[in-house]
Amino acid sequence: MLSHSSIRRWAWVHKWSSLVCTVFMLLLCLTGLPLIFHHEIGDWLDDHIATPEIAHQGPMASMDAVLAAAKARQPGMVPLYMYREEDEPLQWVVRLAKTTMADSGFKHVVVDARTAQVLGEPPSEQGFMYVMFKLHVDLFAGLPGMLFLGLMGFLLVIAIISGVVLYAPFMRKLPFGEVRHERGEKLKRLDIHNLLGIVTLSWFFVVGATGVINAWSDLLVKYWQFDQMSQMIAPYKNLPPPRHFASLQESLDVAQKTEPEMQLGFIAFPGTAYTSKHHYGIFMRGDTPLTKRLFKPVLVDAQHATLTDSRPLPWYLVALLVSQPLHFGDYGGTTLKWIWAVLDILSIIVLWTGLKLWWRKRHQYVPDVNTRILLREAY
Amino acid sequence: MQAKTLQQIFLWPTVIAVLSCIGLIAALLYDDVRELVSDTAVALPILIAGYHYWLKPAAQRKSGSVIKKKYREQNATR
Repeated sequence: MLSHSSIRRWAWVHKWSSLVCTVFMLLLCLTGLPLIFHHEIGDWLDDHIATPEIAHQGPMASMDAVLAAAKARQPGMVPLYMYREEDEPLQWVVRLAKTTMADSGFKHVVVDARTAQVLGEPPSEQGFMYVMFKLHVDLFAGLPGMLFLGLMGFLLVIAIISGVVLYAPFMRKLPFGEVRHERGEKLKRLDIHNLLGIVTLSWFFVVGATGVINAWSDLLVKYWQFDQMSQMIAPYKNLPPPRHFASLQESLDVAQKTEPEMQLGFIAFPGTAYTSKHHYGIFMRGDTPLTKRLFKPVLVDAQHATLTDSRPLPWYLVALLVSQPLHFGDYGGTTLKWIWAVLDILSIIVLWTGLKLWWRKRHQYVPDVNTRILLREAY
Repeated sequence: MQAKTLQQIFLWPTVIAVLSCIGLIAALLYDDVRELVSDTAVALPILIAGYHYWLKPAAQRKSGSVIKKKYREQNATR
């Protein structure tokens, strides 16, 4: 058992790590709740663009045609990325902006992969879900906001660990899971905090820790640029950016030939964060539940449609990509999403009861002497 | 109730933590029938919390004044 002085130290750690992050964690849990169902809510709000049912035989449209259709819809804008939503394999979404370095002012054009017809433009950077997303990711403050929330997440992880340590002295004389319903609001609140805190331990820890990793995602990609991209594109170092671009379809064929076992994940256009000024960054992926998240970049010279280099992702980006589903809870079916939502609500209760326990501690009357001593010290 | 050892205190929490971790990772690796198993493992904390918050106290109320008995027990051991 812990000595009294070490309980006091752990209690200090638990109190301050929680107090500093609780308000932000409540915000993250509340905004995260609708984000779990962003797909369903998108359908419900009619933001979702359906694929028309047409009789289509023969090959898919050329990707050059798909790209041209999107560009024609948003003249004066440059394409940044091209990707597919998992539940709409017959649609290409093209993200465009005024420049390749823009971090706002995006437009999205959805194009039918079979016919290269524009199907519509989902709303960008507006609406309820966008506000939830921004509050959750960076508090509308860009990279500093992201890193700040990452720091709060780190404090949460410390609060969870110290909470587990403090669980022991509180539970010394209580059977597991006991909630003392009849012995006053405060003890009941404490028991609920302890019970929910300890059973959601793994989930809250995993979601918290993967959230912290995600907060670093922009910096990890920047580091990858510096670490690996610079080596891959060394021969292009002092060349001016290309003026004429080779066929996208041809470039994709080159990438497919390089990785015949994989399929196309997404395309990063020259000048964006995931590639260089001279290359189409063509990201191939596998097709098992795990490997479909692990991309392999193939850099294709955007002027000549020739292969420049292709390397597997370094461990830190693998860690990032594997941690993402564990944070989002989007990797199972609908059942898993509902479980995620309930666990999220349980975490809100843990945060709320913890905050209230701290707030009320001075007026507390605890009938049990042993518990009273420990309560005094623990928060 | 006698003071519990660390092992006794952390037995159930460890079991739950390990099972829900396995569930979280298994759901990432498989997306077939095993999904049901992993979903259950991830949902385990909810089931256990629900049992201890609602079902157990209700059962105890039914089976007489367990709480009074517990008071007596506690006072006896002190």
